[in-house]
Amino acid sequence: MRSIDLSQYLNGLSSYTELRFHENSNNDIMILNGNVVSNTKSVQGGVSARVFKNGMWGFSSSSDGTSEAISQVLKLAQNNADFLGGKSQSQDKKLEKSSGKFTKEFYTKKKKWSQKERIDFLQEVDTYITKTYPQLSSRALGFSCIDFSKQLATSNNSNGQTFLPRSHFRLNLTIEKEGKSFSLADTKGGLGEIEDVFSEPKDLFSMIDDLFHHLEKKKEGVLAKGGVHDVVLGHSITGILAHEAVGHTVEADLVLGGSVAGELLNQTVASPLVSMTDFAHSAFGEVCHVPVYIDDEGTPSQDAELIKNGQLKTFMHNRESAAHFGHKALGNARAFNYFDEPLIRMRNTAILPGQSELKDMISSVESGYYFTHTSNGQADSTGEFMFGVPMGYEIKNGQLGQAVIDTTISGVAFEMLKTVDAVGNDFKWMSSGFCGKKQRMSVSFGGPSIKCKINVGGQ
Amino acid sequence: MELLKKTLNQLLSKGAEKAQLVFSENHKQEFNVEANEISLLRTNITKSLSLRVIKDGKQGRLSINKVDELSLSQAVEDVLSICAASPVDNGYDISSETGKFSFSSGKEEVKPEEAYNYLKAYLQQSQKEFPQVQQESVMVSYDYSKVFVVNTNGLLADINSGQYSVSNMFTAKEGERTSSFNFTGFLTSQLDVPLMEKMSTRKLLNESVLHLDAKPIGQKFNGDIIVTPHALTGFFLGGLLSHLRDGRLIDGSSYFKDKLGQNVLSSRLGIQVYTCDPRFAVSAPMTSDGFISKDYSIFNKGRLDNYLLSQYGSNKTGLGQTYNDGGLIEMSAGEMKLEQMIKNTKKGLVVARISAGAPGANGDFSGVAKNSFYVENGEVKYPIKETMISGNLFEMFNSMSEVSQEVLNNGSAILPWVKFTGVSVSG
Repeated sequence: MRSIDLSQYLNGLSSYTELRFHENSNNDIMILNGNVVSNTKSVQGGVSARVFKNGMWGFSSSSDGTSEAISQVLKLAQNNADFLGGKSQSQDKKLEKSSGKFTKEFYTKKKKWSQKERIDFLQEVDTYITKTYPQLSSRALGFSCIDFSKQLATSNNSNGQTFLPRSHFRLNLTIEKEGKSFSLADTKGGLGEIEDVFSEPKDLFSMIDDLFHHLEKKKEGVLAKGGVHDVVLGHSITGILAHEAVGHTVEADLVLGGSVAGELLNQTVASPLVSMTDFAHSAFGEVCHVPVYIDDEGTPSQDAELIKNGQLKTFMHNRESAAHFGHKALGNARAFNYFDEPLIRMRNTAILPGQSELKDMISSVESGYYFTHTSNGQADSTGEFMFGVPMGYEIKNGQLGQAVIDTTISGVAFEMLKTVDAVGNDFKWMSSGFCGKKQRMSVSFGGPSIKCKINVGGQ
Repeated sequence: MELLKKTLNQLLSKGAEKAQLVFSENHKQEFNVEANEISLLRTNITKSLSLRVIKDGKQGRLSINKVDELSLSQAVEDVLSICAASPVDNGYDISSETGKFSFSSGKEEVKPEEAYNYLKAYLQQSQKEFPQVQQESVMVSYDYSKVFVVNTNGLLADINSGQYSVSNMFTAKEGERTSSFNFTGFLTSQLDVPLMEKMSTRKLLNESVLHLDAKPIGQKFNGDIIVTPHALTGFFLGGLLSHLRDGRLIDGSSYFKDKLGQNVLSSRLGIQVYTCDPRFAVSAPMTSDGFISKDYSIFNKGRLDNYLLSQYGSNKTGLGQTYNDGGLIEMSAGEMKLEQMIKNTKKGLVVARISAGAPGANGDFSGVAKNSFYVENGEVKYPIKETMISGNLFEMFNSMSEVSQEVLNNGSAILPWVKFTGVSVSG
C-alpha cells in the first residue's frame, strides 16, 4: 500500500475527524480430497473518513484512493455528520482525546513464496495424510492468509502506520463408522506472513497425527450426559471462554446496550484464582498474534486489565464510551475493512495461567469431562455463553475414559467463573478466529486449563 | 462494460482459454442506532472486480477493487499466474450462458430523511411501549448495486438492484435484571410498514421484557419443540441445506448422498427456491457462477427433488446442476394454527433462538435455547434460561409433527413455525 501524508487533508477542519487508508489482502487455498477447490487472491482497499459533530458521527468511504476521492469522502462524512448533528439531542457528548504516533510493520524479510510453492506445500501435506491415514473418508486442508495495511491520521494529531499479516494452516479430517461421519478440525499459525510462520510440510505432520488420534477415539465415542458437571477445560478452550463469556459482556458499547456487567464493576465476578487481560500487543515477553499498537481512532494501545483476582476492574472502550464512563481509552476501537467504522473490539484476550498441573486437575474429578477442542462460541448480554465442543473425554474416578462426540457447553459467565477451583500452569494462544459483531474482526485469545462446573449438552 | 470486454480480450491474448469477470459498484447509505440513539450515518461507495480464468484445465481467481488501467493490467498478470500454479481439475468451467441479459429492480437513490424518520418513529414507539427495552443496535441501510457479468462465451449481463435492509438487536433491562439479547431483520423494497409491525417485532420486544423473569426449567426430558421462523432460518434450515451443497456432496459426507428422488424426510416437509417472486423483497436473477436462475422444488412432501449444486459441484459429482443459489426460499406452510400447535403440546418448548455450534457431520447437535418458553399441557408457562436442547438434525426433520398456517416473510425467506418431536431438553 502506498504511503502518503494524510495529515495535510485534516488542516483547518473544525470537527474531530479521522482519515484512514486501509487495504486487506487475502490469499486462500483449500484442497478438498485432493481437489484445489479454492485458489484465490483478493485485495480490497480504499479510504474512509469519520467526523464527529454535536455528539453524532458521519462516515464515508470510497474504494478510490485518489486525492479527489480523499476530499470527497471527507466532504461526505462531514455532510453526514451535519445531517445527524443538526438533529442531535446529545450535543454534550465528548470524546476521550489521547493521541500518539506509531509505525509497526511485520513484513517478512525472507524470499516470498509463489502461489505454486504454497500449493505444492499443501499437496505434500495432503500426500502425507492419504498415505498415512487411508481410512479417512474426507480431508480438507488449506492456507488462509490475510494482511492488514493501515495508515491513519486524526485531527488531534494521531498518526499510525501498520502492516499486520496473519497466516494459518487449516485442517479438517472426517472418518466414517456405520454410515455416520465424524469430523475434527484444527489450525496452526498466527502473526506473520506465510514465509515467517511456516517452514517445511513435515513440521505439520505431528499436528495431523495428533488430530487423527483424537478422531479415532471420537469415532468410538459416546454422547455426553446432559446437565451440570465437573469439567476440566483444556487450554485450547479457555481462550474462547475469556473472549465469549467475559470479553463481550465488558465491551462498553454492549454495557450501554444493557449487558449485565454494567452493574458489576469493582465487584467479585470470579474465583480469586481468575485474572484476565485484553493484551494490546505483547504478553509474557512476546508479541501477541494480533498486536495493536495504535487503534483506528488513533488511541495508543495499552493492556486492559479486565479481571484481577476475581474482581471486575474495567470495560473496553472507544473514545466516546471512555469519555462517557470517565475511563481511559486503551486502544480497542478497530475496523475490519476500509468501509467499516471503528467498533469496540477485543485484541488478545486471555485468562492468565495459574499454578496447577493438568494431570492433577483431571485426577481430582470423580465424574465429569475433559474437553480438548472447541469450534465456535457465542455470548449474551446476560453473560450466558455457549461453545461448540467437538472433542472431549469422560473422566471417571480421576481417569480419562471414552471420547465424547460433538456437544455444547454453556453457563453464565460470572456464576461459572466463581466455580473455578484450579487454574493450570499451561497456556495456549488461539489466533485463527474471527469475531463477529456487525463486522468481522481478527482476534486472538488464550488461557490455561481450568477446572470448573459447567452445563453440558447431551442426552 | 467496455472496460470489462477489453480486460477479457487482454486475458485471451495472454493465453487464457476461458475467462469470466464480475464487476460490481455499490452505494450504501446506512443509519445506525447505538444504545437507543441514532448515532452514525455511513455512506460507502465501493467497487469490486473478480476475475476467473481457465487454461489447460487449471483455474485462477482474483478479486480487486481498483479498476484503473494499471490495476487491471496487473490483475491480468496476477490471475494468470495464480491459474498457472493451480493443479489440473476437470471441474473448472465458466457459465455456458451466451448473449445479453438485463435485470433491474429498486430505486437508484433514496432520500436519507425516509430512513431517519422510519428509525426515529420506531425508537419512539419502542420507548413508549417497552421502556425496559434497550435498542442495542439498529440499522436501516439502503443498498443499490450495479453488477456486470461477462465471459468468453459471450455472456453480457447487467443487473441493477436496490433494497433496504433493516436489522435490530435489543435487550430488556430493569435494575440488575437483564434479558438475553434478541434480534430480527428483513429486506424490503420500501419502508411502508413500520418496523414495529414487521417480523413480529412487537411480540419479540414483549418477550424480551418477559425474559427479565426467565428461569431454568430444572428438569430433563424428551419433548416437543416448536421452532419459530426466526430460529428456523439459520441453524436448522442452514444446517439441513448445507448437506445439499457442493462441499458435502463433493467430499461424500452429505446425509443426502445417493438419495435423490427418495422419500428421505417427513412428508410434512416442502422446500422451494425461487428466482423472482413478488412475495420477496429482492430477486435472484443470476447464480453466483453466472447462470440465469430457475425455480426449483428441493423437498416435496419429504421427497428429495433437487440438490443445490453449482456448476463446479455438478462437474465433480456427476449430478445435475441446480441453477439457483438457494437465496430465496420458502418452506411450505401447514394447516394448523400456531395457537393449536401450542395447545397440542404436552411438554416442550417454544424455541425462538438457538445458540449453538454447527451440527456435526452426522447431524448431531446441542445448543442453548435462547429467548424461549416452557410449554406444559398446552400452555406457555414461563420464559426459560440456561436450558440446552440436543438432538439430531435429520431425525428432527423426519419427526416434523405439525407445521403452522402462519408464516413470516423476511424478504428472502418465507417460513412457518414447525414442531419437532423427541428432542432432549435439559436445564
